[in-house]
Amino acid sequence: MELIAMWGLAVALGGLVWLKRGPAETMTAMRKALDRCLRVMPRIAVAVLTAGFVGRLIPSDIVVQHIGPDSGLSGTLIAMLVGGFIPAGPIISFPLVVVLSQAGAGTVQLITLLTAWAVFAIHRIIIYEIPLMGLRFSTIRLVSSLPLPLIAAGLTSLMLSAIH
Amino acid sequence: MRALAREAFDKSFWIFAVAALVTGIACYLVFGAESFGEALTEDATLVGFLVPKLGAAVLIAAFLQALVPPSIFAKYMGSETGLKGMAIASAAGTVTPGGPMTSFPLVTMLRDSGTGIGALVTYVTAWTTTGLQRVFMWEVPLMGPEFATIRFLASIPLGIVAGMLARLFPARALPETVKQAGE
Repeated sequence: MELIAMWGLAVALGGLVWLKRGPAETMTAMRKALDRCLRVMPRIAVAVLTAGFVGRLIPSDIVVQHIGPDSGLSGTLIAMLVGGFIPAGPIISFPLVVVLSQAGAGTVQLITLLTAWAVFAIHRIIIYEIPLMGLRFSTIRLVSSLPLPLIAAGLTSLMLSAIH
Repeated sequence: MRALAREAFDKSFWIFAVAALVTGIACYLVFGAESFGEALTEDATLVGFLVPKLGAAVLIAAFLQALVPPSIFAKYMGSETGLKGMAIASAAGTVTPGGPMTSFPLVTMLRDSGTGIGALVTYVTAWTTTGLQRVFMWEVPLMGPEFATIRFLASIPLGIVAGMLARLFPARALPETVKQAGE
């Protein structure tokens, strides 16, 4: 179902690009997509394998106890801390989130973790942000971003309680 | 083609390959052959599910880029101030594709064209939290559309919140090259 919806969206957008930008740009976009797909596929395959094995090795009661759905504010703070210190891109962090989710982590805690990872990503600050934008900019951005994972957590719990 | 193969099977691929091997062996030793086989089939099924979804995801991202290039927004960001500038920055960050090697050079370009600290911080935050490419490439295939939608919705205000907080810093705290509000 999800797969059909995604391909439907892809085809519809492709038609739109064809109409608005012409066949040449449509082909360029498709070639870019194929290129990106071939690049990440091997990495995703091994990353998912690793995540699956790690998920079996991590005792799930530890995950549930610390960042489970009922872990409350302390679970959210732990998730924020863990997320902020994942020194890697999406190829590592997303399979990690899948593993934690299967081991029983709560949705609020996982969204907090992903938000903290996204805004604090240490490797990106050191490699790109400080060299290109300077230490002052990074400091201002980091300080301004401190409450963001908690805001995302709050909005997520509001949405979840509205749904259920 | 050879360059592509070299990139596809780069260092991070081999690190994962070794990690998969080590954790796989650990699984085999701790839980036995049967559980190892189960894990392997489960993971292979997940990869099998992912591949066709990933194909659609990268197509969606590439077509979106062709339809709404982020440079469209960049034109307006330098001239707009206040909340409107941050709203545009938020939209621009959301549609900016690619990793930090493409987005940060754009951030320096925006700074040099006079975009204020608020809109700059909003842009970086929106790119990392609501970036559509990441949502379609990673989140929808791996975590499902419900999780991805909830996280996306919860993240929409984050860029503007961070931008407003950044504007509270006094002018003397800012880098010399960045203006306070973009006026």
